[in-house]
Amino acid sequence: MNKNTTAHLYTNQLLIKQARKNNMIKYDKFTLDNGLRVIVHKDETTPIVAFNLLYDVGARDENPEKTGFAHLFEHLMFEGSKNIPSYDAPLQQAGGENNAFTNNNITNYYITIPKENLELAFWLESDRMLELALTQEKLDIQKKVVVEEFKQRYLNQPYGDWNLLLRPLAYEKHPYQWPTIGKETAHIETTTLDEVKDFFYKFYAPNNAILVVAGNVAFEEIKKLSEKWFGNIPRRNTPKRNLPLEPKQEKAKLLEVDRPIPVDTIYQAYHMCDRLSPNYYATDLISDILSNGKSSRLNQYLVMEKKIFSQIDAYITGDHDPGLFIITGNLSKGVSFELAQKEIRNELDQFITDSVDIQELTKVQNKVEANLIYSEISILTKAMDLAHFELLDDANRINSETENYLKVTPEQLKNVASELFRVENCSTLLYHSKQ
Amino acid sequence: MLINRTIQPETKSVQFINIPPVKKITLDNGLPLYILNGGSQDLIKLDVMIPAGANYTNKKLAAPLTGLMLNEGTSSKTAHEIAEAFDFYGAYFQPSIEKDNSNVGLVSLNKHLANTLPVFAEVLLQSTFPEKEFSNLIKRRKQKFLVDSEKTSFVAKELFFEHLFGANHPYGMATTENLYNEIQAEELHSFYKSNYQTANFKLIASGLINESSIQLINQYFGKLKMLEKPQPLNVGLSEKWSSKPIIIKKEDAVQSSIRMGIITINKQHHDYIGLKILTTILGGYFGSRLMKNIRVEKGFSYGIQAMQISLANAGYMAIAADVMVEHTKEAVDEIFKEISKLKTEEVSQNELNLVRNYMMGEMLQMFDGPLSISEAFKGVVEYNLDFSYYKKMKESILNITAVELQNLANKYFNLDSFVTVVAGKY
Repeated sequence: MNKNTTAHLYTNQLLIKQARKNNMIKYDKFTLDNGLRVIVHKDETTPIVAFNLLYDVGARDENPEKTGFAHLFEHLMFEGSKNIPSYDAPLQQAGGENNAFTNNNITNYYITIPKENLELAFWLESDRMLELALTQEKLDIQKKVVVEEFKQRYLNQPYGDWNLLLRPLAYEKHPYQWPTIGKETAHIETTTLDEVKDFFYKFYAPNNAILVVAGNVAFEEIKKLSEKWFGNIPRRNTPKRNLPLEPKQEKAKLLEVDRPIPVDTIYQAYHMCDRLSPNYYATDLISDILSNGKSSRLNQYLVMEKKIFSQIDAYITGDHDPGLFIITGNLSKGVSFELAQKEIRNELDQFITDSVDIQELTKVQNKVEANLIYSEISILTKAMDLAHFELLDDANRINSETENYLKVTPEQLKNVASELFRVENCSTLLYHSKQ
Repeated sequence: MLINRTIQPETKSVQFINIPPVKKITLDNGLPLYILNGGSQDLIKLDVMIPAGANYTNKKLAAPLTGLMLNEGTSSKTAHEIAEAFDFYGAYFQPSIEKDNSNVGLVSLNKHLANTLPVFAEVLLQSTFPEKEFSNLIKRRKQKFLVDSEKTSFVAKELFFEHLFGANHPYGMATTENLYNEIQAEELHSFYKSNYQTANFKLIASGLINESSIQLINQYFGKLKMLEKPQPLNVGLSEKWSSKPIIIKKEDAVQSSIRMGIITINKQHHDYIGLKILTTILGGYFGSRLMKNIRVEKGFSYGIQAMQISLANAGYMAIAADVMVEHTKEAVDEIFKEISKLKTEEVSQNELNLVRNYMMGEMLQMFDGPLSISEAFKGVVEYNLDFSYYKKMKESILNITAVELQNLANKYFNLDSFVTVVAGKY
């Protein structure tokens, strides 16, 4: 969910990191009196500074009757603040770019700007943390824009509504049961100005945010600027998160829909562990073994050899609270759902009965290591990762995360798979092609 | 400390872009290897630019399918072995088949290059197009095509190119299901022999490039015998455009996809950069006129973009948006109004200044880091231009006048020659 269509794609894959003794990512950290945490990373090789401000609020914090709110709010953040009528114009004047995204867990705003003009980013971001200049008219326009986004991504695409169907099937209690865009357009359309303001003062607080500044910058300079621009924003009463736990799924679930689409399609969701669980890395590697790269199992066996699917994918949502392990595939012409499900099951069972051989495990671990190095080319990625890890528990995960992947053993994969791939843990969504 | 937040911190305009030198090396057989050395990650991206895009064949699907078949089997390796070889070392094989060129890329850690480069070279030069993999690929691609055909955005784009360039032009030929049924592996193989195995490549290496990497590249690409260079087709562009919108009705659409545009010029023309600036004003950034009008003021759409695109034999300006079905017509009218305004009114100094600064910032990012610099380089070397193009671009961004922009709008944006396509409701 982005403010802008041309956003960088930011996926969980980019969060994969490794500790390398001679190439650690160094950073410094301080906290302002009002609770704003600030992280500074120096990289002398770039003329650009990445300024990343993460708010600890996402779609999971929404009222179940008012879903899509966090994301709608993200749009409103670009509609001018108390002392700055236009957010975008001054930034463009300064040669900067910006965007933001909202997901079920967090809302993240980012700017890239020439180093000389860095203070402008502080000015812009601090003013909209202080107070927005909301009007009914602005709200009405953004509701329309977001409803169009809803249509463009979820309704006007074949299978675009899978997220609207699969989440409430898999989750009965936890707010991950709705996607970031919301359950339905009516929730967005009926939002009032008072609700928007209330949301702002609840969650857009210095004590609920993490700022990362990365580039050719000096620690003292950032400290000074942070105090100057953010220092006098009052601490706010952010409610302590207390979300319902999703009970263990004891019965497989099935939802079948008919759609005027050309190809039968299957989605499966298995409940997995939370982001801080030691089993997270094994779970992620299982998804890599199944479907990361052309040589992965699902592609090799079910697409290339048996031709059950024309395309199949497995990945984890990577959510902070217990997330989903998702498998999705387009069935080849003439293949029944029964056969398709049997073949997927067969692949999953192999994790439970057989050990993954070391060569195959090493392959996906190598990939983790390489992806880390590729991702660090971007100063913005580094800034986002630092903020995200700091929110999880510790920014230093940026230097230790890959190690966690490299430590995973075949035995662990087997243990994790036996719990993860229980038949009862599965929610299945079938799209029947009816043309 | 009390601060006055209504006063904006001072900012400086970006005036200086560090455009690094490109080192050109000639391999033993005369092939050019361009080197963009930099960054701090120990990796290499090798791009091979091959004259094998859609413009080199009158078989619509031959060029992209040939690119997708490269790693489906070689003289010594099966598709599976090739995939294992790249995946094991965390390397990426990235074929990107465009209208003019086939750009095939390898991304690899330097420490694994001795293992990944031989496979990469083999895939490029000794691919065998096995029948079984071919028929499997066709089935998969056909299914993907059928799914895509349900999307208004895909339908509108296909039809837009067909009407802009002409149904018989390789840039404009539309895809049909039948094309997938007709195409033969042998056709791809012969296209491959005439366009890939002639080894008329341009090689571009970016990242941390050391002597041993260069030697490896020379070892695998420097001995190839270069045969006669393939020539692009020479099909005339369509010259009849109707300003009347072309409508594809889709009853269940909840948004209409609008694609419109006009033939202009390509990068080799001296007006190109100015036209690019003009198009940015129209719809090239978040604060553009189209975004303001269609999204910010009216909320008709999640986004709208205008872009100036260069191809070897043509250039064009295109506008794309997915809009509310009930306001499709109004959106098309508004787009035309915005284009007309560029022709009748000078851009204000404020707006021009904003766009100058925005575009300079964009250029600064373009030249940040070896991989994005190599993308910038690929964008000019295919027109036999070099980085002086970007120096000109910088001068132009800083100095172009409102009068010049208005003249360009009048010279290139003839409203009667626009092609307008709508998929959805109108």
